[in-house]
Amino acid sequence: MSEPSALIQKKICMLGAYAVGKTSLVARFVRSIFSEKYHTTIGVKIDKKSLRVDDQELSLILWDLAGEDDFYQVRTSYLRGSAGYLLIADGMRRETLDKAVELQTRAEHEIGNVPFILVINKLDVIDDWEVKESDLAALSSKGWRVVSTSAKTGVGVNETFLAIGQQILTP
Amino acid sequence: MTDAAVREGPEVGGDNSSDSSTDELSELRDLLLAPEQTQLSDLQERIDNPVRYAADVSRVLHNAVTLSLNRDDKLATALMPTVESAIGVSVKKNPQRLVDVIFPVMGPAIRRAIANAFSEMVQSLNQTLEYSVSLRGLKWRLEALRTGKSFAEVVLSHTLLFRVEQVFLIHRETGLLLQHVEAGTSAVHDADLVSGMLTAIQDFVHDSFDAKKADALDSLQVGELNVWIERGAHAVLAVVIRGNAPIELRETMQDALDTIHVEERQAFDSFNGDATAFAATRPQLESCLQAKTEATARQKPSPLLVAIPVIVILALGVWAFFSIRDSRRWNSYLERLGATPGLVVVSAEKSGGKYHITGLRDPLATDPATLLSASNIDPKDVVARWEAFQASDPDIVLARANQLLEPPDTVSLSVEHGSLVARGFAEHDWIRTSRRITQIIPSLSGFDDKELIDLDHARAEFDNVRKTLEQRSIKFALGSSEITPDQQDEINRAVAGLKQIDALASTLRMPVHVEVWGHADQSGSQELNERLIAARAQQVMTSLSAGNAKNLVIADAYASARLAEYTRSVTFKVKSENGTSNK
Repeated sequence: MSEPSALIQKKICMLGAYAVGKTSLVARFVRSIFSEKYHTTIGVKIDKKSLRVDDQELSLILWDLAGEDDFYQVRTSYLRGSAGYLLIADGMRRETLDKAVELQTRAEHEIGNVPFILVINKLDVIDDWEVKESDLAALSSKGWRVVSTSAKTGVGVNETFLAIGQQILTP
Repeated sequence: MTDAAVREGPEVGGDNSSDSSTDELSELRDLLLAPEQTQLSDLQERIDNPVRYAADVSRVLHNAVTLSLNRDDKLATALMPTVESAIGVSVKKNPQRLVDVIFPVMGPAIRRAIANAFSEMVQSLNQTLEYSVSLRGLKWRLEALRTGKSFAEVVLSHTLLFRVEQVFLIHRETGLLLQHVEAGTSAVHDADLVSGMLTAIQDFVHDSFDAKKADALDSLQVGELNVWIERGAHAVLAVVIRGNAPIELRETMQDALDTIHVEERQAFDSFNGDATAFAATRPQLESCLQAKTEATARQKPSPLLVAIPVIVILALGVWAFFSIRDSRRWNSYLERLGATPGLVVVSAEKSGGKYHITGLRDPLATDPATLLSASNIDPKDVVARWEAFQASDPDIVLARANQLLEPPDTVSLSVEHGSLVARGFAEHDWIRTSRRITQIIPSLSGFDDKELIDLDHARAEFDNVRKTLEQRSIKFALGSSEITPDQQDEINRAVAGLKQIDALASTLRMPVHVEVWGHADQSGSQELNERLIAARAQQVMTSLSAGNAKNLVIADAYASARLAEYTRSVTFKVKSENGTSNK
């Protein structure tokens, strides 16, 4: 670790229910070169974010998977090779948290035990949240790392990506 | 202490039992050296016993081989002949064994080679069909004619214009970009993202259409952009091609990918997202950066390539010119030969750069060699063989007659209707000989001498006519020089005689003149008589001239007067101009 390390690339997936703000989070984070319509066509949109974590140049290749709903199921094959993932839920919709939990199970089944962070988005309207502190506390007690962000104001976004970066670099 | 005891042994116990001392010694030795001895004998046995020795060597052999191979390739060199002969013996003994071993390797390779060959053939065939009837096709056909390539090759060279713009080496599991090379100025979006999307698209296609596990997306096509994808165990090679690439590119890709897998095995095993190690694959990826651009395909041909056809065309032109000219000359020569009497051409041909001609030639015919110069042919280029024969051409027959008969200048010969016609004058002997010789000249049916004058006959006639003329006498009355009417007949006969003399003399080419002699009797005086003689001669001359008689000369009256035997008359004497009156 002491030597000046070369750039490391890591694949990170963004998972979550439909319209939880995954893409908005990414848009906060990077400027994308691919358009939204990739989601509706092949179900994934890829972006990249370079950051520095503890003197390590890290390049996150973000696989922003289309949000799952009643009509569309996430292609778990897109998860293959991921170093970690972000589970995104909408604080205003309780069911998105359940979906996140369900997706975590499927992801773990597909790619095993890799670092992930549960992201509760829409922190800017926290007063309207359906998701309760107790729900999150329950998950935290299971060892999950839970963060809150606002894609709208940008609060917590950078920190979240740095955190996942740190997790995947820590053996 | 022990040492001393051993040394002193023999001295101390010398007189005691030597057997007991030996036993002690050996016992001592056993006590002291037993473990080493056991080891030694064990070692000895390990070396001497082939079974144990082999077992020992077998334990270290693989390590020894590995060490040796790491150090240098001497072992490989040493083993090579043995291995080669072992394979040879094995193949000889049981070829099937080797077939079984290499089939899994050769099978796919052969299948791939055959598939490639078919695919190339189909591609070529399709394009050939497509372009064979267009204007462009016509142009290419001309090009094929000019360059000597097959039409299919030319079509391919024009249609397979392509450029590999980007090459991606992608980690198969994560879709992360391991290495990326691009050609020159091609516009690239972020290669990392493209790499990811390409992986996603492959997954998408694979999942969406329930493809079998081994099947995968091989190529994508958007307009004139193609993405070709080759898959390995750890990495995927994707190339972005603008235009229509040949199938060989796939082989290049496969080779590159295979090489990368072999060379970067460790890098793949320890890959953690750091692509630095894969910088070494750049040469392999660059090998896929092939291009066949329109510019190179339409490059101007080198001056040499232009010059060669021009030279060839010029050379052909010159050759054709000379060839046609020579052929014309030769034909004109043959025509001349054909038109020449006494020559018959049997065969004429050109071989080995020379003209060969055979034929028949009458010895009297024109020498064929002299006709060569008239046709501008070098006699050295002609090999001629002429057989002698006797020709029946009138010209040749005439020439032969002239040669055999040797006619005098006064005779002209010609061949008419198969007969030899002689005109002019000739000695009787010549005529007689010629009649005989003509009979034996081939192609002559006879000797026509109706228009030939026999000089012997002419001479005899001349003498007769001369004699008759010289006997003529024009009579006169006493003392008169008048020609009386009764003498007119004699005058006329004299005129006729003179004309005959004249004609015969010219036939005989004998210049003659006729002297007119006047005579008188002896009765008158000398002077009167001479006057009468002259008057009478003059009178007859005048009469004869009126009858167109020529070459008349009046004889000297004095000389005439002395000729006493004549009386009142005029007579004639024919004189040849060389001084003699006759022969």
